[in-house]
Amino acid sequence: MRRLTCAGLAGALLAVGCGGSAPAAATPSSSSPTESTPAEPSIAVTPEMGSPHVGDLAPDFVLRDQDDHELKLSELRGSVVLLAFVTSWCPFSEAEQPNLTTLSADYSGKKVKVVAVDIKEKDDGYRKYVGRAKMPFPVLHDADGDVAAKFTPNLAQPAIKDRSTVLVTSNLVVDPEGKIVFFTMVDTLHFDARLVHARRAIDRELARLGTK
Amino acid sequence: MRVGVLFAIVSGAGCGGAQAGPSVPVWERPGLYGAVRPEMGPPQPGDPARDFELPAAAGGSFRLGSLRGSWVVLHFTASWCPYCDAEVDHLGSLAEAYASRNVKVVLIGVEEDAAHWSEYTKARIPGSVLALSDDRGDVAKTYAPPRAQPSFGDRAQVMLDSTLVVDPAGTIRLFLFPDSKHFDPTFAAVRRELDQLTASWPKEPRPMTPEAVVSIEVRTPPRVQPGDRGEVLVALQIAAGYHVMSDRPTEPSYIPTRIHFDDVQDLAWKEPRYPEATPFRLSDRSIATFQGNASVSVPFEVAAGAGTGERVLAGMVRYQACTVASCLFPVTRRFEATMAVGGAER
Repeated sequence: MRRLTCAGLAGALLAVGCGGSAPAAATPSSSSPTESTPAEPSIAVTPEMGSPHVGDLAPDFVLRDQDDHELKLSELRGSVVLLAFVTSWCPFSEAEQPNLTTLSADYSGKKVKVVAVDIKEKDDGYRKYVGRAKMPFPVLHDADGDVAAKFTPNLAQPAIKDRSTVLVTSNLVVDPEGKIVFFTMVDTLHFDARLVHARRAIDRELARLGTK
Repeated sequence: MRVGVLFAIVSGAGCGGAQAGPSVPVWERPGLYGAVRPEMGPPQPGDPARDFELPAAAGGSFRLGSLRGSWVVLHFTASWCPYCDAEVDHLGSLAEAYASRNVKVVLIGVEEDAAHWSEYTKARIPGSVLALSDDRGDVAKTYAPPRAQPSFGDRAQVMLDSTLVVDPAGTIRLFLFPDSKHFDPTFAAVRRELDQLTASWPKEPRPMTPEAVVSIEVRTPPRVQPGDRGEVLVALQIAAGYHVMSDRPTEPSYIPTRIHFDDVQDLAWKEPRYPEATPFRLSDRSIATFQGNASVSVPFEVAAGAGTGERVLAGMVRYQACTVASCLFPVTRRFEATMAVGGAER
């Protein structure tokens, strides 16, 4: 825990740097989850990056999970969905993975579903990954990256030819009506490994549901 | 306590003045993203690039130290990393474009299976790039600053897609991490930095003997009278591209430039007055030198009862001449001039 706190602090300082407004680092002695997090969400997907972006309906898809169950995204309507694009071969994704597990535990019993999509992993790689990482939520196998490619904003990272890999370590929050309300891609310099901004987006949605 | 220290480092690191200019820290320079920051820990620009030896994809092994005297662009990569892969062609173009400026490009595959890396380099890596395999990530680990990417368990992977520029003296001059927010596969920022760095690096002059580097001219007053005070100027002209240490060198081991006159009848020599030192920038620091024209004035007094006649003023200068890359043997050179004492004055 101590190690985590210190590491988190270093991250907060790096990220906050000279930005000016630095509320995230205001109470460095507490162990609040804001410590390691940039003040703004990492790379927020804006309309300038093309589609889909925040405000669009999430593209629907069907994929199989580690228990060989089919999961259709639109069948999760009514819940807040955290959709995390992961892979075993990206160190950012690896660093984020334990925090996904913590997040799913923290929101169990609430109207929140955590769903991971494992991008471009061969069958044995996928099996090894879900066996090792022990994620207590569906980890869908997007073997050829088709689903990831559907979610990749068409103008994001134009230099990367394989469009599905652009989405590795991207996180979306989809509201109970199926609309994307949060969408970030990995920011390698200001890396929000602890998913603080995604949690905030989930909390906003839960608050909205509660007051309806 | 730790928190306080970290804060102090950050605020001390130049958050105050965000104005563009030479004093702006490298990570705040416009258009340059991902520069390593002091609070991440070593290595930092100014530190020596740690030497290593790794197997080359083309066969044999390669030692970084063997590129002393050249600029080196060191890039860490992985075949599965989409950002890295988008860059390899541009890395090849950079190597070609900067070869004439004595820049070598070295690509290090981190934690790659040997057979797969060999296939990947054959298929993807341009021939102008020297590809090496760091299959256990040992070299990447030694370059990973301890507090960069604190959430990464495998410290070798901290270095993926990062770029270092090492100068001909083996010192790190630039260290950039990938910034996905401003991802530019063309290395435009690295090229701009290389342009500046290579242009400001002193050119290695043509080889000379230590004696040929400095020409000495002694200027005396044509005639002095008993009881006069005067001075002899010893004008040193130092060849372009060379420097000698000043009379008060930066390091005790450096040979200071010294002028000394032999005793002369009826003359009392005073302490020589050396010109102000000129700073000479090495890769990591600045040293006190003389360059170009440096005149040393040596004052004297003529005894009141000095006899009339010509005096031979004999002396010596000791110096060590250096270029940016190396130093020549120190030498002691003698010189002579004449000066008339007393007698006719028109």
